Amino acid sequence: MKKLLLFPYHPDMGLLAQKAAKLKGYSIIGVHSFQEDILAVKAVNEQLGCNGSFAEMLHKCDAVLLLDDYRESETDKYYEVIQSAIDIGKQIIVTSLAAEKLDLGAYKGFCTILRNEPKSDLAKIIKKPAQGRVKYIIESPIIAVFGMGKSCCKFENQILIKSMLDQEGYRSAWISSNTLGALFGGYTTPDFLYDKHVAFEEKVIRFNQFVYQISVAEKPDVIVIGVPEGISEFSAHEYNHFAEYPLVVGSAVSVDSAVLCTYFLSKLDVDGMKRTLFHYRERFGFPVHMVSIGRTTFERMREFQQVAYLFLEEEYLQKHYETAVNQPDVFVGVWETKKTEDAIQKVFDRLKGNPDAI
Amino acid sequence: MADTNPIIFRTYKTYGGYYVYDRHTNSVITLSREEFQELQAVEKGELPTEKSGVIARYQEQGMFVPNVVKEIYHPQTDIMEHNAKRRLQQLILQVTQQCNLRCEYCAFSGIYKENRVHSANWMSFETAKRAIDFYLEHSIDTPSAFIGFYGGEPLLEFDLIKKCVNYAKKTIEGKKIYFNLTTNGTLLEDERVKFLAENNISIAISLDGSKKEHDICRRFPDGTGSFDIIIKNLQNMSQNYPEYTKNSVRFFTTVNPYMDLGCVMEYFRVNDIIDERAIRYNTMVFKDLKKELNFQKSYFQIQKFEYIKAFFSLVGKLDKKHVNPLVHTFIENAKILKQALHKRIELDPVIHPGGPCMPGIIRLFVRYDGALFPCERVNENQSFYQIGSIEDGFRLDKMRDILNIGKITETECKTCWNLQRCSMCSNEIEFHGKEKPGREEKIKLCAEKKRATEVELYEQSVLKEFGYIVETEEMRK
Repeated sequence: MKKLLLFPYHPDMGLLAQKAAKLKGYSIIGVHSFQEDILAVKAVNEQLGCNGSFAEMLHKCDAVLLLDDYRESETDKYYEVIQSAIDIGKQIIVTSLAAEKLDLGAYKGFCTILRNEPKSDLAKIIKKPAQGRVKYIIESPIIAVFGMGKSCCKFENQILIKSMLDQEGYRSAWISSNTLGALFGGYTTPDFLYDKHVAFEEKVIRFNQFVYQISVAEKPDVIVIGVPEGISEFSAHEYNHFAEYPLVVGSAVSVDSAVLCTYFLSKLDVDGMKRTLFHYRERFGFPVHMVSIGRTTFERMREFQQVAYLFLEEEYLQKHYETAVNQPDVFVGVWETKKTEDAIQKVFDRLKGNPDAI
Repeated sequence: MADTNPIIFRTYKTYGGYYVYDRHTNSVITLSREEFQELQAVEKGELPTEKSGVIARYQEQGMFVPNVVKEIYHPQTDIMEHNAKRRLQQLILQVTQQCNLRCEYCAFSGIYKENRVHSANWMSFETAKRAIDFYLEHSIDTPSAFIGFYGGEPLLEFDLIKKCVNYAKKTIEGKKIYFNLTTNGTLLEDERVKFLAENNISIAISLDGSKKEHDICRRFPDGTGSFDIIIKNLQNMSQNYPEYTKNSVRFFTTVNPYMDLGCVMEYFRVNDIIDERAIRYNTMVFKDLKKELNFQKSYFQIQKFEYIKAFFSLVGKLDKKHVNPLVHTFIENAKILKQALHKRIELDPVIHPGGPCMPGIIRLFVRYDGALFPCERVNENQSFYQIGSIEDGFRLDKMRDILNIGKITETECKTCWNLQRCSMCSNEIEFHGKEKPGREEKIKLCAEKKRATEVELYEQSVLKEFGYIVETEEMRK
């Protein structure tokens, strides 16, 4: 069990603390951040039952995990933390986005990118790699978790689905849309999906083979795929790669059931939503059987020409959320744990009803 | 009986064409003469809506939708609560209410009804520290920290500013910090400038043009003009810190009835100390004045001339460098309007006229004693604007009232043709001694806003007739 100290503050920390019991091979001993985050950090550390200073936490941990920077922060303190950890022989693990931001050249050999890849050998599974431009049929049923855009609680839903599958005794494999999925035993999304030099067609074939490899090697009862980013363009500055990732996934594999994650909606337009679900089935091949309303929303910031994501607190969600009269019970708020579990169970039941499925 | 679901539009014509503004889609279309006449007949009630073939034809294209507005309610009202907890943008500290000048048109000179005047009140470091802490506690998700110093004349409390800058730099590790300061420029002596430059504190200096024009209003209590000392300070500053002066110093010129605008503009054009591009013109506020003030005739002539030049620039007949900064806002607004009309954003049943920004969140103004206000421009004496204190936190109920100023005239707003184009901040409405802005006063201002929109739409149409286009990538923003 690797003990992690997290740096710096990120809104996902609350989720990590809340789901700490589900981590696989890791535990979180505390979080550290910039001076101005003191209150937020205190709240997460309290949740984790940690009240030590940075030095104490650093001594206690096996590795420091550097998280994505969601606020374009200055990097000085990142390097201070890295150096302090190296000085006392601690490992540094970095998310790929954090690694992109930092210059880690001077710390070669000390830093590892957070990643979890299948151990099986693709070449052995796919016999003719030279002629490998073939799409394979995936025998295992697939649940896709996709969303309207970034930070709409896809990750939270994936953790929940994966842990419910584990709880019910199913053998499952999970390709996480969020690198942090690696902490929960999920595979990280392969890098080629994000590579702008790889053609769409190539991405489809390779993603199909990636899933096929997992399917053949592990023979899971079900595969959960978290689809990164979102299904449409938000603005000229946040265009979600014009929905390339869901299109790749939808073209690469046949999805049996999908969970759509939306941003927070105080009241759902159920009929409007149902119409869009039909569209998602047609466009991406995602049959949506559950709609999860997220705990985040967004704001277009014209002056900065970007979209800001707002991480809403429980109190706000409870206060402003109103269930629509004709709202089906598979349309749930992600913070409504019991209802969400029931909705996920219905997704499982649907797959169970399929003789080829679970 | 009045139509409860009317189709709301506004026809108008220029010398070159006939137009209609459709409120529901916030768009303008060009009409034939016959179409225009028919829509005018509908507007006047001479032709029932359902009998208009023009309306029926355009309805097929999604326009002329019967009124959908059910409620006037600002769409950001609910999220304001969250933003007040986690996303404050800019902190402005009133470090003192005192000033070493006694400018004629100053908001605190006593010429405005009900507004405060200069006083010896100043902020303690304890209060400033608590204000910075309050700001940081309420801006966890904001990527950068913006801290401004305001007065009176903030440099009278230079030691406090120094302490605040040092405290903020010590307390803020991850965010980029941007400091700014608004000053009359008379106290920019070497030691102060050194500190400002070393800490890259952006400054905005009030300067009203040439010595003659500037000194008419901007004087010391003994009547001496402040121009010479400001220019001397500026000369020293640009000599010792040329890069800082070039990049971080801006000038505010308050256009007022006492000055000759032509002389002011000529001064900025020919002088070699101040870059004309660093000048921002703003106009003296005429609301709540104790006595009537009027601009000279030449002011309007100059405005018109510069306006025509801006117009020529927009249609590609004159390089923008020949257009005075005085009318740059006109150019920017024309672009924004063009983009807005292009988007055809349909009205929601729950909507609010434009104008109010999220009070206290975009700018949080902290008075010397720790009282919170939506920005530095509001009257601190009006309790309507006090949205809390650093001790007790935000008063969300008051913030909601300021944001939802349209509620005062909800009935009128629901059917007003200008709903999508209107832009009104509560600070523009006269209070007339009341505790909050009244309906009557707001309606008076509504008429002005409608007139302003009519002018904007007219200008936009004429610009189009003369070939005005906005680049494609700008249209996407």
